[in-house]
Amino acid sequence: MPAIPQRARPTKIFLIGLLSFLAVLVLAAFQFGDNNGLNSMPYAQVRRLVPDLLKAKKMASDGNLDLLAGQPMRGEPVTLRGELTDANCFLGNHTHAYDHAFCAKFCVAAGSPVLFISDQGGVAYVVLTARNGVPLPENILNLIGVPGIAVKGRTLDANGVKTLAVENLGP
Amino acid sequence: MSFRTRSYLIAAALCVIPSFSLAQDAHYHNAPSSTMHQKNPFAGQHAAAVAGAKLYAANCSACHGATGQGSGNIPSLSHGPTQSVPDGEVFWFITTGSVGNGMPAWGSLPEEQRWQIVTYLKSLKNTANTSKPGSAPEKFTPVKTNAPLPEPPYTDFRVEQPAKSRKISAQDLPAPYATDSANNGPQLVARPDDAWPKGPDGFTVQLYAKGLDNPRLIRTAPNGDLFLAESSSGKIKVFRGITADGKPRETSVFVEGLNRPYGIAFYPPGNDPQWIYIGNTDSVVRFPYKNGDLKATGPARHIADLPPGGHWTRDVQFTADGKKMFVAVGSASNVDDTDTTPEEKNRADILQFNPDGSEMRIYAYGIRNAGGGLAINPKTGELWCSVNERDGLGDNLVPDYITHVQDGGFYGWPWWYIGGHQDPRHNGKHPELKDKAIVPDVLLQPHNASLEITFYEGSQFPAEYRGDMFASQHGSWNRSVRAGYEVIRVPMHQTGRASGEYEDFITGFVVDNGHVWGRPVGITVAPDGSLLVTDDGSNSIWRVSYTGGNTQKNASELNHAGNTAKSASN
Repeated sequence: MPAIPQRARPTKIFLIGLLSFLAVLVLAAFQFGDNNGLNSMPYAQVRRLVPDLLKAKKMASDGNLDLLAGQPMRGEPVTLRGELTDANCFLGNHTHAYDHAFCAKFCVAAGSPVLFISDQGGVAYVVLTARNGVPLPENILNLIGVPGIAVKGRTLDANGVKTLAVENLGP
Repeated sequence: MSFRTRSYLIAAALCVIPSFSLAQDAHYHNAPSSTMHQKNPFAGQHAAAVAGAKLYAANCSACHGATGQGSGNIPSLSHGPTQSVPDGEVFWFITTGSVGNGMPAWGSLPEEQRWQIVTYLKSLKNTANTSKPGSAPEKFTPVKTNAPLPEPPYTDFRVEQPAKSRKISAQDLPAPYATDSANNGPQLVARPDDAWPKGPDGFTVQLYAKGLDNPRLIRTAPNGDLFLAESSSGKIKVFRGITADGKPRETSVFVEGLNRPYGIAFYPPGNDPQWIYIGNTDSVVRFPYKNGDLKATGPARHIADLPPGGHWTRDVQFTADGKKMFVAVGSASNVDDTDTTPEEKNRADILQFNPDGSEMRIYAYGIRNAGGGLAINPKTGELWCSVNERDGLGDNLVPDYITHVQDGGFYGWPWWYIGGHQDPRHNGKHPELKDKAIVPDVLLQPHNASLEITFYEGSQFPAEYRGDMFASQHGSWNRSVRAGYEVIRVPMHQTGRASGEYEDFITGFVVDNGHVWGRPVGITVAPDGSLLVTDDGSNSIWRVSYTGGNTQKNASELNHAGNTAKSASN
């Protein structure tokens, strides 16, 4: 067996030890930031908290986490006319509007993102909620698939992606 | 043949017959044959049906209706195949769904709950829309509207009135977005006890057939048999004759297993057809046919492929000389630009083929959806169509229309409408087409959903009706106060030409601004000169007869005591 150089062994051991220590520190930092294990909470449990924003905020606060829910979206205020539809059908099959409202609502209910297709040039916007963590109101969701509706909101061009945070119906 | 051999043959035949009939039943959404033997653990149990009713209300009623009556393309569950196939097949279909056809898979529901839904569905057998005398109509909260009455020439259900004449011209159109785009689809309810279709003085309306499964287009064969497309269940049915109390003498399923059939045409034109052509949503097929056939005598022969989906109805007609076939294919979308949307290729057109399906060409274009109704004017030989125009521009835009169709004609969609009105969603596009966009002959109420049309060549109605057109109006959803839900008459003034006006003819299908009980779809002239109207709201066929001035008496004479029919006089 070849002999290990006398000076290499302690340095290697030291480095491994240092890295392990740092890794533990990082993990601990995350662990310490989430006192109540909120980050590992299953999605279904989180979903149940959405209607109770105050409770969710308290839980986050108790867990040393930031919850941006309720914070308004920034962007340019606009009123646009067009159609709310779902991303799966529109981007996958260019299917929207006529005879498609049920399908679009079904996809959105199943988790497909909402898109807004503007009457002006057919520009597609990713629909954001007006405030973080606050769902789109039912009266707006009821109009998914209806052509020619007017909505008020804020537009933002984020890294080439056009977004529309829908505040309410217009004009 | 020895006695023993004959016995073997009879025994073999007895074995084959039931297995064949079982194979026929296994067509329910192509359920695997094993599912038909699956037992419902809750079959007939009241508690399970009650639990199933709650699950149904939460998960299914939004589409299939509060009582399982179905609507439009959504099939009825209270009668039809759902009631006749084994529980296991229904359970299988609920579990697997058919996402491509709009039916979600409900496998995520616990198995027990799916069986409870099946139990509930089976308890619905023939409960919806049968309107038995004395039965209590379902309870619903009336939806009132405070909207002011419409300004002529526009109308809505509150002022529709048989024999009332109307005329919309291109100069009457409001600006786009003068009102919001409405989302006012109807909720179907069972026909209230005091509701019945009504016609002009002298006309009687009777119930010809009920308990149908999504009855759509109806067409009269040269021998007088009546062919009906039950689109959602993929069937063509035949009705023969009219009994003394106004019912079919004979009913038969001509063919089944089709893909949303709608258009029906007999070929060659004349009294001795050899084929019947069917417009499926994705193809035209034909079956051998001769006068008197109640069932198809041979397999389908493929004639032409059609773009599937979108506006799905495909009416079919032949030129009077039988040399060419017309097929109407509606758009895939409301108003997408055909220049940039490949899905719109060969759509929003009336296509022309040879009868064998060869040499397809676009006969007329820019016609958003004429799939609901084509007809040949017997006086002039011209092709006519009934068109659903676009949505999303407000209550009074864009008028639906009925028009004769010009070879090579451009009717505006998607860039223009009703002549040179530019759609604001396509501002600046195709200025060269502005002057080419044809103003149609008869403008109808916007969003009426005009469907099948027929020319009246019967002898029963008064002479002034001869040569006029009748059209079914399925009814609006994109209008804040609903319109349509009626049959209209388009006078042709004995000339074969329309002058732009139309009349309300049969009304009475709307309960209030939220509820309707009937939706006219198909229309044809029966051999005795009465008019038959299919209705996929109540899954019925109505028969309109001219009985002279004493309508009340005639109606009660025509309908035996205890029958549900009532006077149609107004």
